[in-house]
Amino acid sequence: MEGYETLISQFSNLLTYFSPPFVYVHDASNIRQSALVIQTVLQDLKEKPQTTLTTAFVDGIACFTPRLLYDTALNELASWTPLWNEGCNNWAGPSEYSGQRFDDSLDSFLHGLRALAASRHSEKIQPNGHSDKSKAKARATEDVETETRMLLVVQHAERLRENMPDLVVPLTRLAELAQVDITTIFISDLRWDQMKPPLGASPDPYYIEVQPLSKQAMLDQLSSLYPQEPPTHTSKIFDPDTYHPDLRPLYVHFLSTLYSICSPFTTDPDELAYIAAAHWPGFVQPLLDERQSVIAEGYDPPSFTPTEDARIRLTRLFTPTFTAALEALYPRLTSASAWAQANRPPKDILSYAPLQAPSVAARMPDDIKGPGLLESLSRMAKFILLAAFLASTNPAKSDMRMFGRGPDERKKRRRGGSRRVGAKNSAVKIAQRLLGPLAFPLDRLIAILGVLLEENDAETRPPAPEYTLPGEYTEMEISRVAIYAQVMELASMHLVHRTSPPDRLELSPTFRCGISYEVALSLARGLGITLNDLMWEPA
Amino acid sequence: MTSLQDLHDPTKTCISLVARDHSDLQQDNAEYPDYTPFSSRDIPGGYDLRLKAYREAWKTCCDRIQSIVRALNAPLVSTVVSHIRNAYSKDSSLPNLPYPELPVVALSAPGGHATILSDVIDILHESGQDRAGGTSKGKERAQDATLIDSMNNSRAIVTHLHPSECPNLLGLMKALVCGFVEEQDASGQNGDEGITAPAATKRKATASLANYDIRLLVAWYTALLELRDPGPQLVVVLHDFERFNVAALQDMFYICSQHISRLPLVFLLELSSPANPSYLHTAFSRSTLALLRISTVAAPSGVEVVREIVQKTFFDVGFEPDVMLGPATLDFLIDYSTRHSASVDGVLNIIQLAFLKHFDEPFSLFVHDTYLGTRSKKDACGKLQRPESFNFLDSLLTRIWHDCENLPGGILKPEIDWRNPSVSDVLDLVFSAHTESKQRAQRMKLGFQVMLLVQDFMRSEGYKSTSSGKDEDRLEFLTGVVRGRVSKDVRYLGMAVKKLTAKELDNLISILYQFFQSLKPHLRRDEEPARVRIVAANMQLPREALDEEEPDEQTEFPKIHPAVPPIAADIGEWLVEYLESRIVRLDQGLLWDVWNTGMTPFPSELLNPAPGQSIVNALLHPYDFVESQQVLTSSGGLASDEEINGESKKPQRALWEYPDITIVFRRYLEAGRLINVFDWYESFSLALEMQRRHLRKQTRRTQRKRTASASPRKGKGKARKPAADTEDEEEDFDSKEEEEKWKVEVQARFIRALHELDFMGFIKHTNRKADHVIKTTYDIPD
Repeated sequence: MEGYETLISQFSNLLTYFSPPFVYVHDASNIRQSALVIQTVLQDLKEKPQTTLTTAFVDGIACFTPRLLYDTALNELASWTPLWNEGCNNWAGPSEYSGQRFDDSLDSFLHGLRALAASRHSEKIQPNGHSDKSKAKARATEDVETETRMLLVVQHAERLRENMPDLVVPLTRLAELAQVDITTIFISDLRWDQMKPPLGASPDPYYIEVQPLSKQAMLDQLSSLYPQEPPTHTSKIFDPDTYHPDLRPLYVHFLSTLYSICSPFTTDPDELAYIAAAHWPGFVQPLLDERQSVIAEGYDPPSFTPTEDARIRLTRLFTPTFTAALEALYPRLTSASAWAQANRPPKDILSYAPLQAPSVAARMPDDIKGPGLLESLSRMAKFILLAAFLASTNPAKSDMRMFGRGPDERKKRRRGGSRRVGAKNSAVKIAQRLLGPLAFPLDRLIAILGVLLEENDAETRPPAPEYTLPGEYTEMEISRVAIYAQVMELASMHLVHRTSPPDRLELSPTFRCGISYEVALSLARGLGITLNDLMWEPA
Repeated sequence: MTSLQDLHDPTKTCISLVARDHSDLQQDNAEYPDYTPFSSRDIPGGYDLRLKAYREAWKTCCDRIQSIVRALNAPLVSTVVSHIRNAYSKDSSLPNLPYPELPVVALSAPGGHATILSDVIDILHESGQDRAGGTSKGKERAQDATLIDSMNNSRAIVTHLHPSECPNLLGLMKALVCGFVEEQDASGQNGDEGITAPAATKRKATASLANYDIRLLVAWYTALLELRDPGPQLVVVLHDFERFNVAALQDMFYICSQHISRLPLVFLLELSSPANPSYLHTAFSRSTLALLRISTVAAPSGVEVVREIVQKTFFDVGFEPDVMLGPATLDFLIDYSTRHSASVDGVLNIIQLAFLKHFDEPFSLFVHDTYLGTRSKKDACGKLQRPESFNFLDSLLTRIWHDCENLPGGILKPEIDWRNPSVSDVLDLVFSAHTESKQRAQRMKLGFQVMLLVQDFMRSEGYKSTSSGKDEDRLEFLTGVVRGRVSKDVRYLGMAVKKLTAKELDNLISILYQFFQSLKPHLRRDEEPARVRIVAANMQLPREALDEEEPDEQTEFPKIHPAVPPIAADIGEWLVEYLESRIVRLDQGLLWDVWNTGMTPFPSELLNPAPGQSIVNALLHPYDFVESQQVLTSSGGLASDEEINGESKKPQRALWEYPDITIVFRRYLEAGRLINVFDWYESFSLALEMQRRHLRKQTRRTQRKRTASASPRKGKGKARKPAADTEDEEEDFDSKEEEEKWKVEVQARFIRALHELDFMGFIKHTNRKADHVIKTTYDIPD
């Protein structure tokens, strides 16, 4: 919990001495961590004898209907676990409420809360077999007089606004509406003023802002993840001694190197921990190899703590791979375990003389290498992608000039003046390919495809003597079913994005290109087309 | 008549118009008789017999292809299974991760994955099931050594999600939870699954957890764990993954990842997009990807698979297809798979269509045997001697006579008494032609495989070759082989072999030796001379030459033992001679096209039609379609090309002779971007006026004839029955009332034609200009 001391003290003081009805915790950097911290604090508070707390953790994503939210909240507040053998029944409340539902509307939920408070108050609460029955009972008998305080923690509260917009206001005013001692805590990565309901319908919360972790706090937290005991099970991926307690000082150094390289790109402790977990087994492997060879030669096993010299050599050897690990793991191009498996350093790398050691180049796991984009697509798919790129980058008005092929073609194209610069005093116009793709109708895509095919593909087609008019063959080819099927397939691969709703049938569907200029350029090169000649604003 | 009343009822949204009478439909059908182009020279019952023969031939071929595909995918299946099995095993997981990840196996198979998935699921079901039974397929696969060791693992429970039933998060979660809970309830009650599931309990819908609540699944799994520990894995198969709602999936992954500690869920995604660029990475946000541990498994796809299938089905010595693909079909297959899409399903469709078309031909009855659907040759002779079979027999004899006359030099002419041929002799001839054809095909395949072997060897040794090792080029090479046009490549290969060093030559000889050794006994016997030659060359090669070939320090070229070049030259020459004698065209010999699809054009319109163009053509030239249909279905059999293409014979028709919609459409083509509907109507009514006048003239003429001959024969109306016929013919002028009536009719006919065009998508309505519509099709060559 390093780095969260302020949050912890603020929170525990708040709940022990004075509890506002509505607390809002905002954490822009890592909401998972803050939620964990709050959970631990509440757990600790529960343990304390002088407080009586019952808590419920609700997730804005997981509880996507009001019923789920009510069920989860009431079951957790009542420490009730639905059991399969008993028909998965929800908490039913004390006997006087029998037959009443608590989850079909907000009103019944409020009734449920009241019933819960009442049952707590009159010690009638009977947790079923699984919860800590004795403790709850004991506590209930101890504090008959003091009312039990309830806490409803909503994680990812910003999602409530989308899923159940009607519930935001009642949840923030829960204590007032239910007339029980309940505190609602929202945890979100959105600021309160961004999700505040209009017209001041909600009371202003007690606002807690969680600051991003400082460097030292982050490093402390990361190193606290180092297992106290080395893992007992054997694994194929890493050496059993990888997490030996003696290696901990080296791990701290390793973390600071990792932090200095990765922090410009991400300061999310989870991400750093993820990269560390993937990288550490490979990093420490040379040391373990060296130790093994010493043992094999019949000497006493040396200690795990490496010499300063070895540490510097290791860091120097592995520095390039940190960036590679970040690039592969941060966007999750591969998973940590696959990366760790693919990036084992060469054996006994420390036994080489410093300048002769083989470099530790980062490798990608096999499963994501695969064939490149250019190989896996069929010839027609490449043409369609190019046509889509052109349709998305060139303005529709320029089509006649760029692609119109007639007797006066040359005149038109010259007039097109693709390098024409606007009036001098007007603002500099940014090229469309830098602004992002424009949407285009399917007909336009097919028409541009026709021109591309006529000029670059006509020779490779099988001969068809039945077509006599110039361009008739191409005209026939672009109206074939396979072309339309290919467009839809590219759309399902997200290489072309469909912008019109799929259920609209009456008009030509519209699309937007999904490939970058660089990809289009290499596709064009593969097909023998000069892309810049076809672009209105060539690069 | 209720339907007509319904038309006026504004509350009805849907009205069913039933055909008045069945006899109507039958009459309509009678106008378009079945397509039987060869009926004039077919044998009685030939159609059914050929259909049967087709089924048999296609089944053998299809089974072969499926076994090839299955063999191709076998390593993939075991990878997927091991990924799923080891999803939660500790020895392949990494310690010290910040939080547990949800294991996801992304199976990317752009060319169809039905068999892969079903194989994976079969294995998942099989494991842990210690019953000796099971399907035979499963048993075969279970013998795979890699799989047996994990048989003791507990069996996984699999559920399937389809995009159609999960339009949103609620549907998705419901399908997921119910998929496990209710599916297992059902199978548990049946008691045949061999898996212990917690007994179903009666849940009160209002008082218990919602059926889309993951806590319900948690409760169920907890109960399951009490019955058996360790519990089984819960495998969720997401079919057609690209079609799921992405936002809902992201939420579902988040919810599931919150419960990993209690629910060992494994997701298997069925992707039809290629592994790179990855759909998952383009569609999902980073925060969702961070929850998952994705293992991508990519199935072999594309041209590689097509080549493998074609080569192993039609060019493999170990398999004899009943019908060999000819150059035309092969060309189409290759063009389609390199240009449009290369998938297993595509290849299957193409080959099946080619087969279907092949069995249109009456002689294809002889594909399997000469019994003509009877039990013995004697019965077959009897069948042929019947008068109904005369046409068939006659065309067969003509064909054989023709073939014998035109046999190329290398092939022996069969001996038959042409003056008085007996039916039995003819059947014998067909039989021997079949054997001959099989042998030729077998020899061709043998030559092809030897050539491929040598080519690959030369390429691996770094020699240049006429074709690169790419799959596309290899496919192209196949068409060359089928056409017998490989002599250039063969000679080039021979030349390259002559330059081999002693060591390389030794390797080549041993490769060839092993190849011939691995042949089936009867083939090996036939190839005795080749084997002898190879063994002899091996003996000639001086052993010391192999050791002496150290590179010269000065030139860096290997020193070549003086005895080696003559042997190499010898082998090179033999290879050229051997390959040229083996790789021959298959379209020669008696009745060759019974066992080969030859140059018959592939019906590509069936697979890759151009519907838009066809509609436009039909609208422009409706009579061409009708006439060609008549020609095809007339009893005279296939029309000659002149008849079909004979433009000169066809009378040029005037506009008024066409159906209404064609008149409207022609006017449409002449218009600019916007069409004024009123002008359009005016021009249409002019054409109709013309039509009316002509028809009147015609009817009057027939009337006069009729009165002259006084025969009661009824004049045959035109194919269309324009209502003008019913017009009173006697009057030259119309009464005012009739004029009104005619105008209404013209309007009705125009509106009908207009709506038909609208229905076909030729018209876009504009709200900007009154009475105007926008064209959607331009520049159609007439």
